[in-house]
Amino acid sequence: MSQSTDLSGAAGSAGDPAEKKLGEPGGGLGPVQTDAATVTLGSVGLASPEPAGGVPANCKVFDAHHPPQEKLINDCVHCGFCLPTCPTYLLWRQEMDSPRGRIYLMKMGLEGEVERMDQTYVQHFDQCLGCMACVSACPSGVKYDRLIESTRAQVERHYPRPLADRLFRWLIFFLFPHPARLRAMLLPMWLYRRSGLRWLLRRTGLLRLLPEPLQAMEALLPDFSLKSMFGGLPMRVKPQGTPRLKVGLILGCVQRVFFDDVNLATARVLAAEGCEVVIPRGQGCCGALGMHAGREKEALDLARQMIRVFEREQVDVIAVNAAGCGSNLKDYGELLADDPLYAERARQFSAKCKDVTVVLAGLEPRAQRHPVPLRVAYHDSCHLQHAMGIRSEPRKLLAGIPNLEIQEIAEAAICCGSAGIYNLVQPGPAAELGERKARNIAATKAELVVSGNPGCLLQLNASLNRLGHEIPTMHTIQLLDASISGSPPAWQVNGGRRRRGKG
Amino acid sequence: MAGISTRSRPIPWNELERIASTAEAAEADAICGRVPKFIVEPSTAEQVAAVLRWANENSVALAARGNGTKPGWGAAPRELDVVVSMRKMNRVIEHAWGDMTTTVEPGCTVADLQRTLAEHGQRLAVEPLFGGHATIGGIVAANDNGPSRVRFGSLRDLIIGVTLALPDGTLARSGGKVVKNVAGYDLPKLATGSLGTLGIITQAIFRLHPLPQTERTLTFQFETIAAANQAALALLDSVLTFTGLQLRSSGPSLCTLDVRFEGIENAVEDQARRAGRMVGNLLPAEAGQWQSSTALWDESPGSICRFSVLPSEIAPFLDRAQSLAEPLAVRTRAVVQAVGVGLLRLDGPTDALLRTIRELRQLAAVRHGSVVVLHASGELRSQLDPWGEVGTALGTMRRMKQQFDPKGILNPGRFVGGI
Amino acid sequence: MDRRILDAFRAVLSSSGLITEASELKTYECDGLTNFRVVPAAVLLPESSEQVQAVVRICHQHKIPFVARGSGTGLSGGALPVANGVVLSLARMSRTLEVDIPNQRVTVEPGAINAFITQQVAPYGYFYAPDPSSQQVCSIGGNVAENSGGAHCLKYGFTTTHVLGMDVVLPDGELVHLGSSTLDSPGYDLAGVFVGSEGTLGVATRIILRIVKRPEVITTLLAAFNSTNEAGEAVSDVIASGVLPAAIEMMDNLAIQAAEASVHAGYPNCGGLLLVELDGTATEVETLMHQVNDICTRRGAWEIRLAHSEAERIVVWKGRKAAFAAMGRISPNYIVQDGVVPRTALPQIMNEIARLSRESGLRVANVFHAGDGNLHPLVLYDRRITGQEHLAEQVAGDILRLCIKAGGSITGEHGVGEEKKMFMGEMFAEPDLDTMQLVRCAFDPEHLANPGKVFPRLRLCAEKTGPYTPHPLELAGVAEFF
Repeated sequence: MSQSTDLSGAAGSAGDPAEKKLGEPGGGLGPVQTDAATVTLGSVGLASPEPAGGVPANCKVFDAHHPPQEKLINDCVHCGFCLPTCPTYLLWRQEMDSPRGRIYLMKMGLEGEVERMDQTYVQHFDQCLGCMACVSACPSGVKYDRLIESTRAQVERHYPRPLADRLFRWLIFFLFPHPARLRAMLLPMWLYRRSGLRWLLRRTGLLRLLPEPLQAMEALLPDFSLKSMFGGLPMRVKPQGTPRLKVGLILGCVQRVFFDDVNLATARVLAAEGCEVVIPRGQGCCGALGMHAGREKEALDLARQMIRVFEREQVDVIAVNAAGCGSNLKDYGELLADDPLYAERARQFSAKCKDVTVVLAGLEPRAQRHPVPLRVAYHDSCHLQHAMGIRSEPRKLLAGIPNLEIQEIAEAAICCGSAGIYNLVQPGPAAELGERKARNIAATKAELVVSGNPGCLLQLNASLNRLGHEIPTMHTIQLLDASISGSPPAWQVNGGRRRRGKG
Repeated sequence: MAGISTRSRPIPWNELERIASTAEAAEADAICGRVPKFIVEPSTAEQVAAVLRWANENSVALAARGNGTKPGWGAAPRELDVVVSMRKMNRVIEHAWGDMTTTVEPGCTVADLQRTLAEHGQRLAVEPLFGGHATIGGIVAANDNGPSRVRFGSLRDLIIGVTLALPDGTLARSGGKVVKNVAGYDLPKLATGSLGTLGIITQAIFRLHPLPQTERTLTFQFETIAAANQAALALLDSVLTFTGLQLRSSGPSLCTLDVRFEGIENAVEDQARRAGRMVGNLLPAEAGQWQSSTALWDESPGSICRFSVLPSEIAPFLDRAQSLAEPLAVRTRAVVQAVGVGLLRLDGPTDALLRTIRELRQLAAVRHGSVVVLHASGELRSQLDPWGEVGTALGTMRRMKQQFDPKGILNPGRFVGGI
Repeated sequence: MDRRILDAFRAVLSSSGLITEASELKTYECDGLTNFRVVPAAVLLPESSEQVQAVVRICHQHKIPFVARGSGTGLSGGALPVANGVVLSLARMSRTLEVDIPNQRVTVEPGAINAFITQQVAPYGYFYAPDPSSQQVCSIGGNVAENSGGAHCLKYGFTTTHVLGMDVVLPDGELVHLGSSTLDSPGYDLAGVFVGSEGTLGVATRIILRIVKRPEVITTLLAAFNSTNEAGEAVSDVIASGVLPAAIEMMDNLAIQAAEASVHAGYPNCGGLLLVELDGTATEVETLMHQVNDICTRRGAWEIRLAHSEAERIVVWKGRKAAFAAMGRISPNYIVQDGVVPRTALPQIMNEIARLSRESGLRVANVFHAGDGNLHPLVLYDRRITGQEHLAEQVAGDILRLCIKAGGSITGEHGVGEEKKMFMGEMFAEPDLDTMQLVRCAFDPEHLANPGKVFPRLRLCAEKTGPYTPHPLELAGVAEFF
């Protein structure tokens, strides 16, 4: 079942990578396999021999392909320092929904103390946000991110999800990692908002008849203009002044479709700072959503494609403006370590990837910043602060904007609840966490919230809206763009676009 | 409790004489008005244990005594046959100055102990009443603290080990010689303030503090108690590290605030200056402010209560005392530590005192405070429980007494709730 | 567990307040000490004092032993479940009920996290003094059970000094108030007895704490010595000079290495590292700091750093606070020991520990509160090598015996719990333990509250009315009647 999805022929065409057909591994309804034996034999599409990894003899729940590593699990000394940093522990105060408890469950699984993957066992992994706040807090350096990813992959392979859940997940992964499909949804979504249908559904309460996950999706619906449906960036943007860096830009999926402005702003700012911006065609999804949800094969295929697309350009650095994507891109080296064709290429690729704020913070500011007299709250997205340890660079950039008052949000290290697809598949806790974050934001009396991740921005919008706070949100780079261009920022508030009046 | 009064056979006093030196008691040996038959003076812990075992077997009621500085505290014991005087057990067994701990016998006076400790520049950070001849065992049993508690804590915070002789003759050690010790239950805490109703202390171990290089006290005057209370709260909320903060009042008018600083000279001077700037009305230097509590006892008998309220409630409490007292021709004087514990002296006719104390108890109870009568005439004592209400923990306290002293031979009836 | 009993619990608690699934129960089988594991029959998560009372009553009615648990970070196995018993998790009761700044008191529920108290009162210039290294996660209820200390208890005292009063649910379900928000409340100091009783006397459901004004100035001095002995001499001199620092901590080279690997605090690579913290008014601290500086120099410190600002202090303390958990970076497994010796005996004890390390071939890292003689030797080993775990336990036990011999204690802050109860008989004589048992009988005559902890042997309570009937444990040969 080894299958190569070489898409080099896709060079030059804007839009999607090859679409997966139903029934194929990584693209289809239902789990790839539920039979452990079948999975061990190359069905994950690797051209290489089976990597080392095995499970203890009496393990009944994990297969031998990248199980949660015993070595990493043994790094945990059960000290509990992770508990107060874990959003689900803060919500429920149960050991099983803390990093320490989850690691313990993995250990139990490996040691044969768990009979089978049932709902009771799996739900705690599903409920983990993957925010990695625990990784930041752990004094022993436990690589929980690796552990949860390998466990989630095992769950996807072995846990028979209920039909409704499988359908919903199928829908998510049918859409989100495919920008063309998302773009096709734009018109219906726009009509839904602007025709008054949404208002009607809400007013009559019919909306609440929808299954909860779909309601969650609906709540997150951002606003956008018709223009963005036809959006697109040029392939190359010339730098202002003497060029000092050749920067490739990752477009993202949700970002490029719903937050086209952010990509435009990113390109403008980079150009203003003397960077030649290259936006290669044929970029698909970077695979983050899939990787973090345990859909290993499709994520790796997308990774390979991304690498190929950027290899065509000789860029110095690859800028990412979506935190969730950024951390996944940086992991390519490790994710493809087993693949002899891609291992080295992935490492080189990952070494070039940097969050756009890091790229900019590393350059001496060149373009003039105009004052932006606003009180702004900076929201640390988890993949920036925990996965990549990026906390100071965005703040440094914001500090460079004159008259900007930056507020710190209480409980900054706690996730807003977006967490990839979490707010779609776990709407309950996601909403609680979103509201908690919204209350903390409101307490800062900020007039604007900025963040470096589209998922967070969608979640913050929905949460602030639900609590009735009219605080607009925007991407960090958009604020910087506004300051450089000197024009007042356009932002999203309550899902509606408004342009801030002059003066 | 097993009835002492139901003992059938005569008491074998000769056995007691064989254990430790025994003498007949006199009027002056009375405790809360009850005169015992004999005084026994053991010299060792083993003798104490033997005395207790003998008393337990023969249902003899005992009370331990140091130098008898607090004979009127607590309720009158239901029975009192023998007073166990701890005067002979008065040694400082060890002063481990390198570890800043000391092991002391109960009959050692506080003054003697401090003298010994001072030889190596250390002290036990307590300032009990009658500091001259109060004994260590006595102050621990009575939980008698002083102004230094505002910085160094009370006796329960300074005691780290205790050996108790129990009625069944057991000598039980708990705590230890090191300050940091959480092995087992904290019996030193249980012993502190138990007024000898659970056992007799035969040894106590304390943590010590260094003697300060220098000391300076400032006294400020105020028009009203409320103003003094405000100043005290402001100082409590400040970063100044005073070792004594005390309000004194006499009747409605006079009210002063004493503040003490200790330490190295320039730091003390600096703090005194800062305190002076914070609070106005500095009075000229006087002496003996920190013995003011003891001084309340120096005059003719009246009624003295120890009250405890929240720091912010000191003024309302004293104002109420004053407003109750004045129309009833009762004179009031008070010495209060800013942490909320103080002594209130009332002089006047018994009914008036009764009314005042009862009302003050009610007031204090609203915010979980207490008023305990330490000193009063027999007439007052017979109409009022000196301790007041204890709350929901009384049942557990009774069970505790039952465990340690099932026959009730130690100070029966002297403690809270008739324990 | 009997279905009807589970139903009774379910009726009292919220819908998610009862855990009975096997895999989930297993995650509660130990606390911060993983050597001992027992799966409970059920885990209960009450959300109010009334719910605690109700479930304790059910336990009392059916004679079900219960073990209270806060954040499960204890290092002596105090929250180790009892077989066929329940775990009472107080983690959901974490609210702050009242903050009274003028009277310097804060009232909290037992699941409230230690560091959070300080966070709340910091804007007013106060802090909650007992600061165990796990303060970011450990609960106040847990601190009360263990009478937790921390680096700053040298000057400020332990939990018991800062607990004024508590609402406690007794093992028969009765709710009583021990102590008071006012000082010196009449009667026995039951609050003082309850603190440090390791959950064997009842469950605290509301705790009144004392907070302390933040000093004007806090300065931390870090001094590098060639050996812990030299550092120890400096400590003795500091104490003898009449200075009472807020904290004095010491780390040996191995501990420094681990800390560096974990948090990169930038410690000098030396034989003995001393951290001395002084606080007070500006004038006081400045003068005293000079004194301490001189003493350290005289005793051979080859590097001295001063941390003045809060940010600098945090960096200096980071390594010390992470020291235990950081051991995971230099050794696959380790045992944290907690013993106390009189401070003057420290140098001798350090030599003895070095000897034990040499003889056993196991490395021992040392971190300790030099000011009060509280040691934390960390015995490093590898469980995968046969016999090493057993050897490590022996070394840890021998260290405790040394502490007892030196006139110290078997535990300074972590408690006796499950781990050290066999040493209680070496530290105390039988009559001493019998006397402590009297206290237990006054609170928990039926031994339902955390039975089996602290005391090496089960002692039944003497008081029995009516004809004698043997206790089931007696019939099982596990207990004796006194």
